Amino acid sequence: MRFAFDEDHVLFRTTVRDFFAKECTPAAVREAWSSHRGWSTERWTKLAALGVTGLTVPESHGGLGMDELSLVLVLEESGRAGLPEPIVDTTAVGAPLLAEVGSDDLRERWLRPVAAGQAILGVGLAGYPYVDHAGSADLLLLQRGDEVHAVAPDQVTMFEQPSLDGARRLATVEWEPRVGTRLADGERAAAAVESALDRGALATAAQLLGVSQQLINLAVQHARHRVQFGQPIGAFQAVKHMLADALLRLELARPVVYRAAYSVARDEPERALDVSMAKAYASDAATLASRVALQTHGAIGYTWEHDLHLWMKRGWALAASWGDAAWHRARVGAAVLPVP
Amino acid sequence: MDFELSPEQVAFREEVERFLDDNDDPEVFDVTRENMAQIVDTPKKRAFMRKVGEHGWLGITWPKEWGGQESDGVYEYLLNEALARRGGPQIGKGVGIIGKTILAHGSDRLKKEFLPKILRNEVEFAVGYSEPDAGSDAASMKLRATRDGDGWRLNGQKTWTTSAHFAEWYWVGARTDPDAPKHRGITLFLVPLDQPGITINGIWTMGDERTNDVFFDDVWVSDDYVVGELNRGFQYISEALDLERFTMFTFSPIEQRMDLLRDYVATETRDDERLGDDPVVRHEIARLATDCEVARVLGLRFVAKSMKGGPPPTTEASEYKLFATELSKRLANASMDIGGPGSQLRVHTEDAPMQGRAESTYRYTVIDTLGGGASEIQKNIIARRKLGLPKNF
Ligand SMILES: Cc1cc2nc3c(=O)[nH]c(=O)nc-3n(C[C@H](O)[C@H](O)[C@H](O)COP(=O)(O)OP(=O)(O)OC[C@H]3O[C@@H](n4cnc5c(N)ncnc54)[C@H](O)[C@@H]3O)c2cc1C
Repeated sequence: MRFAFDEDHVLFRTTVRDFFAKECTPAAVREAWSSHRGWSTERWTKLAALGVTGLTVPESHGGLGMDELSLVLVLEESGRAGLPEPIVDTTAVGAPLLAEVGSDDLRERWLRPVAAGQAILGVGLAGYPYVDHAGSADLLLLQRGDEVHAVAPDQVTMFEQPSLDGARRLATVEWEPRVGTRLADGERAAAAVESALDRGALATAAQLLGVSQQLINLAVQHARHRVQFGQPIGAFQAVKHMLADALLRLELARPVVYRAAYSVARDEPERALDVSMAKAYASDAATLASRVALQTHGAIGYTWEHDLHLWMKRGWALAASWGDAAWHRARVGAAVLPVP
Repeated sequence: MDFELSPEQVAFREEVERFLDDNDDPEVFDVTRENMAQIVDTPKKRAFMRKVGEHGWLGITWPKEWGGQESDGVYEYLLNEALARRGGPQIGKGVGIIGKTILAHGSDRLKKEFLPKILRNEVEFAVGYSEPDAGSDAASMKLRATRDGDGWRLNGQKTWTTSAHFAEWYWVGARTDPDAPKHRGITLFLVPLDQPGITINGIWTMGDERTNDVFFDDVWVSDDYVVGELNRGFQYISEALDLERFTMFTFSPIEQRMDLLRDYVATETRDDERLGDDPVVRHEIARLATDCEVARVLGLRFVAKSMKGGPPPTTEASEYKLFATELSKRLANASMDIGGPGSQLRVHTEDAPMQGRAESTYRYTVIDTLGGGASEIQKNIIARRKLGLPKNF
């Protein structure tokens, strides 16, 4: 056993972190909120050049062909930076799903552009009603009953569902399944949907780690500098304990998420259980971190001018996505205590 | 001991409900605009509150001499909760804070000028305690008032002044004695907001509401508008805060969100199962429903205590504020959780569960545990005043 990441993983994380520090500043995130599509094609192309967008795409299709253990740290960084780009839907879920059930033609047609940052994928599964970034997706991978389809965006009707997170453009889509769009059915489709769901939940859990870390960092910085009653508010035990609780919850969530990444990468039999434990914990950690961060900031954190709300809202939105804590806890319950 | 309303009180409540039915107007009542709904910030809301005043329902507890009815605080409570339940303007600052403080400490001149206007809702106030460096530590406020002729010159900055952009008068604390201990050198003033030298800049919040920075540049205020005694302002502010902690954080919106959540759970299905059949959900609902009842009874206890006359009960106000606002947040958490993926949809979106209030109250309620004194400060107050523990600052 080695309870640590390889040097390569860590190195890649550092590269991505440096990239985000330069290219995905809070100002850039803010800009995404007010932009038309909610994210930047320019930054996405640069991410592609780093290999990030095609991280999960097989090397034979121009990607890096890496697994979730590499991806999880990148996703964590993306959460920390508040990255608005569709990395979850395209890289974490869409590309592996397409690689799994897509025809040779479709894989050839889409995976290379995905790796090159020239195409993005939208994913709509039955259990989760919204498609993130549906409006700017080039191809939609949609579940209907026990079938998975690949549908062109102009073959569906989209209904915008304004999210509390301004950089996540959600939509519900209505469409008519056709034989020509079907990628898989029956057990094969069911298995693909299950693993897509696990990938999505794992990816958002990883992002939530980063979001929580950023919220705590912002709060700690504030607690060090904000003076009331003649001392930094971080000197008050009430504030200290609040922040320690939040950090603890995050530290507890982190190894569980890494463990889930390992299970997904290896497709372990306990995959779903591990993922659900991770997502439930990460959602709760982010919810607590955002509550604590705001409480620590006082009124200033409640304003539009301050960056805090960008991360709070991302945290809330992700906590409710790809199965919320309650949903995943129920799945854990069903796994550890099967109904006879 | 008895938990029932008297027949008179029941009749009053019914009369209020009839009145509200007759004046039903979506521009006056909006349950989705929760956080600052109580503010009277539009001509329509103002006209409505004037009608409430004409009914003799503002200042219901005030002495008859000053146009009140000397009624129990229960009536004020019933009225305010009825207004809050519909997401309407509430009796807030004028009657609850400023009127009561002027009655207790103000000069006859101030009483004559302001009390009748407050009773007819002809005036709106903004309250200015907070400054950039004086939040929880309000006594460290620095806005400077220096002697000038028969009055004072004010210089400095306030922040988080809600209502400043539409109110006429500013209820504001300023430092009149910089050499005294910090809470002994503050005086309360009433300042007209259209005075030259006052600049008001908007601050937009996560709850989509506006509050303000207010700058004073040599603003002159006459001695006539000093409230109570010089340098005793912080004492009045503390008393007023106890009032605010109770009246500002009405219970009805909490109850209403509890009802919304309960109805949602009772009717909604997920994965072909009724949410209401899920034991975990039922457990959570049971716990929240119990806590709501606790908050309601805690509120009633405050009302009962404050009826006996004398200064407002302080630790009870803190206990109520602390519990009600933290409960409100927990309720918002649960609504978000139980609302599932749809709970991230913005309020006024057709598909959003619970009228979109899962999302909106999640954003709004974060501020309730800060405004009016943060939860941590309420705990400090309780620990000091009720347990007699030493100060920690
Ligand atoms: C929307 C809105 C409207 C408002 N309206 C008004 C208004 O109309 N008029 C007005 O005067 N003010 C208003 N306020 C200001 C409000 O009263 C303050 O936000 C509040 O008093 C807290 O101050 P602060 O935000 O500066 O937080 P800080 O005092 O900086 O507190 C930050 C954190 O430190 C903690 N802390 C501070 N001191 C201690 C201590 N001794 N022990 C333990 N913990 C401590 C706090 O609990 C909090 O968690 C408003 C605020 C908002 C957001």
